[in-house]
Amino acid sequence: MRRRWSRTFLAATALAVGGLGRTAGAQSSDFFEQAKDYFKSETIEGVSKHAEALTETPATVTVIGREEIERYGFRTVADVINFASMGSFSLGDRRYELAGSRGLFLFEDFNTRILVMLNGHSVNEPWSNFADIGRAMLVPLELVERIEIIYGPSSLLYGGYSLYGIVNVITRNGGSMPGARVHLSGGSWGTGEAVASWGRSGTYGSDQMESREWSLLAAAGYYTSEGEDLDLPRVDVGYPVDFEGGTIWGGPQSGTDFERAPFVFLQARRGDLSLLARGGYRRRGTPFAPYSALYGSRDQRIRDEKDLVELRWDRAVTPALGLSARAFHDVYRYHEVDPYADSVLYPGQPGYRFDLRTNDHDSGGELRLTYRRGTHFVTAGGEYRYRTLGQRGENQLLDGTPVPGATIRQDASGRFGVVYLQEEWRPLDQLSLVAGGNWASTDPGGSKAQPRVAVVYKPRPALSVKALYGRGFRPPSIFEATYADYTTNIPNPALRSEEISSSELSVVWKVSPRVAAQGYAFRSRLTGLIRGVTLESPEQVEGGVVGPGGTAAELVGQLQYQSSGDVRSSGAGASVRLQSRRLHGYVNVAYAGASLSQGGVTQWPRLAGSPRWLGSGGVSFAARDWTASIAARYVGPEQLDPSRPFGTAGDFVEANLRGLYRTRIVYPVTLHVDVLNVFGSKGAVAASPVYVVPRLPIEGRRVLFGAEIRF
Amino acid sequence: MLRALALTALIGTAVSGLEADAVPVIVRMPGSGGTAPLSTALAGKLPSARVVELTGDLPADTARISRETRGVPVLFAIGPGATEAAGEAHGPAVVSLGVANPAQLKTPGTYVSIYPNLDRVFEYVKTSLSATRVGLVFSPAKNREIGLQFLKAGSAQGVTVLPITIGSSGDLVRELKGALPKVDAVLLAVDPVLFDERNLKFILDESRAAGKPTVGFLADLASLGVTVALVAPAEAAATAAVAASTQPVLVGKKRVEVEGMEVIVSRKTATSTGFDEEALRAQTLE
Repeated sequence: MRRRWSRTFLAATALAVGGLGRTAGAQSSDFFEQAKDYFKSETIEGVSKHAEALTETPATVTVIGREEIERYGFRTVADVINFASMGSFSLGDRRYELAGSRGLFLFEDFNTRILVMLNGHSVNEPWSNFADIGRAMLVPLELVERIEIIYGPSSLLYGGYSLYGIVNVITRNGGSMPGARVHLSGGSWGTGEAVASWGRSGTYGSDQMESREWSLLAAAGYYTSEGEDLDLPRVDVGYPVDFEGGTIWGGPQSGTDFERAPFVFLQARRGDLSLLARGGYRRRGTPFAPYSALYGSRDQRIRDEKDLVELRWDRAVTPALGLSARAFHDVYRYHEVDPYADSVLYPGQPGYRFDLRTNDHDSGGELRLTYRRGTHFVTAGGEYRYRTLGQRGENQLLDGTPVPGATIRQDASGRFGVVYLQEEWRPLDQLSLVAGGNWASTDPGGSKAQPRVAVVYKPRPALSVKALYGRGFRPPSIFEATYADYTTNIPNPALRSEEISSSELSVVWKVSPRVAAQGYAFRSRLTGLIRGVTLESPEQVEGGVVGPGGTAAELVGQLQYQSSGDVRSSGAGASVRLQSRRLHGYVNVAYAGASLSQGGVTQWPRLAGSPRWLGSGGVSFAARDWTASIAARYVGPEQLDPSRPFGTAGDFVEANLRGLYRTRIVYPVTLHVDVLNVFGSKGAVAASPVYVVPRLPIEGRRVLFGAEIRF
Repeated sequence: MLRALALTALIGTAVSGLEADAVPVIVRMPGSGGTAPLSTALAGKLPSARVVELTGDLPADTARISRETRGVPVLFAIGPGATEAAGEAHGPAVVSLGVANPAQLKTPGTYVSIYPNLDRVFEYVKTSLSATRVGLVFSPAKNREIGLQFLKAGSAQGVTVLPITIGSSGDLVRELKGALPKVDAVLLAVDPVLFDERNLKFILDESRAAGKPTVGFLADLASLGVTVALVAPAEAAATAAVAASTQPVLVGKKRVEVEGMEVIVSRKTATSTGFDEEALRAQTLE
């Protein structure tokens, strides 16, 4: 019976694939798909900082384009990672979406080991290397042309930070998003969003055979949500969680899961010069009440503000030599408020608030040369960043008055410099060789060199086999190296960068213009993992740090970030995508296992929070003016943090449904309805040790209605 | 020893790949899209030519063109992707076909126009459509230079060309409705605005409602409801390309006109706008 079923399945699959192939052939002459035959297609700089195809790039990459974003209704980069990537995932704790990839995930690392970029501009901030993949640092996906998810360490030309991989968000421009547009949506839990944009493009110059282009895209928007009403399991935590002195954590709460996120965005280009600017913040409630704070309080909140501006100049100096230069300035401000019910610490007061603010500035520039000669393509350049940050932490009484003597004020600075060189040699049609290296010097962290070697063999134009080896590193963040209150944390001036090496075999096969498949198998080793270590003896203190009393002994019990442990991971993944004019579908499956060892002894056979199995898929059907889509993901079992009682989280399926209707009400209008978590999955992800409960529920069912009008 | 052998084999293979005969080379993108007839016609005119199919990956295509065109004086590139790769390779002189607006590309060379001779186009518009004022729909961001060429050619033939510039779907609604009462016919440049199904439908619906004929320049347009498609025949374009290859252009760009014009008429649309096949001099009916 089983065998018969298998045969039937294989036959059906063959028919489906064959059918799509035939559909492809029949429709390849479709007039509306011929635009690219007559016009130069827009190109972007990807992992190698120049346009290249998936079959050529020296990395395993998933690219999610504009059409897929619209078809499936992805709302944030985290959605794309969860529902469309081949081995990456994020754990949402209602403060942030924390990304992991290929078995690698560590609690409280705040996306510090993944490089997140907006049009090639790194948004990771210098204080803790944090990068947001929600609404705090990027732009709404209405403004996004495509998202590149690059797996493994591929930061040769960027310096470092991409231990897990790179997410590069490429925005649309005035040419691809012309005219005025307004997108409005709203629905469950007081959710509302408005995004308005205006784009224009054109050419200038008097030469009728040589046009110079300009484009401008300006956008602004606001997102608001009251969030889900939650009823969390009750736990007697033994400390007061309300001003009445109750110690029972949990129960119903409302209005704590809120989120507000305004933004402005500008992208302009004229000839060789381009400007990128983004400003905005996100304010978020923290309903899961970490850090032993009050339960169910709207007062516990975080605010992330990210403003950036980048000026770029790209010039073809000679037909073979290209020069790019850019200068940028980033500002990141963080504000966290954690309220506590504690009548003992400050007698006569029912409690206090911990108030933490940082103000980071990251300024720098990059100069890059590209040289193309025959079968060689050389990229060489360097980048330098100077970073300053100010940190203010204090306890405040509930009326906002700072408590004397309970204030931390700290200013620090850091530097990051990298030079890189990469040669791509294509001696044969079937063979590309990529080799390169960089040398980076960071403060804190010291210096590191990283090589990259890739052999790309294409036995057929549509089939590419890649053998990849690369190394990457992450310098310690300024927070990890310097944060010190000598009450809970001490600095570590001797803290060194952590490093990852990865070997990989990757295959890309474009079976037909409508069917593409991809697969990879990898093995990686992360050494010198930076972790917070609670000091158990004076001998454990690193960097010659002593306490205010002049001894190391007084630091016992405090936390110091140290290079502590190695993580080995290995796994494989595969993906298939199908597309016809009406039907679109994809399936991703990935397996990865990772273990943490220290001093050669396995400490954690499985990394907590990291699911070994991940799957995602989607089907979309378009007919006339309608499109209906469903996207789903499976998250395998996740080990709980070792501080928890034995058990797992994860092991759930979540699905989103979208219906889309295009019409014209004087102007073109697109209406959509989205049902997120359509089956009301009660899935939960593993919680960081800072949370009371070991599992954090994913968001429940949410219904959103929206419309986009193009004026 | 094994390594040395492997290296020698690799270098040997690479060097052999660099040795190519000086026969004409045609580079094109794979598939059977709109520019495929040009490729077929050109290969027919140059039976000894080697056809090199590119991949769409610019670095790989550039490297391949460098290898394949060693000693070749002229390279024929079909479509903008192949033309761009040919330019990046800095190899032989390029003769390009199937590019809607050469100004958008940096590659120096000879560009065979995708349009029929514009004088003949306006002569047709004036005599067969009895139009002395025509609207030209195009997006300035992609076709400003082509728009200027139409204006100049129309003026020379005594036809006033009213630019209907489209920057967005909203522009289309505003500009087209305002322009239709002022023109006798609507010309549709080869422009991205046409390749949006909803935009094209809107243009055709509005023009039909206003009783104005539409004129396009790609063969498939007549079957989609455009009244007349005036097409530069692929054979004529190939002939022009071969003729242009005798005077290769290495610096700057040169535009070459295509002689001959095929008239494809949409019977249904023509009838609904009050034209008959004979008056429209239809060579092909859709």
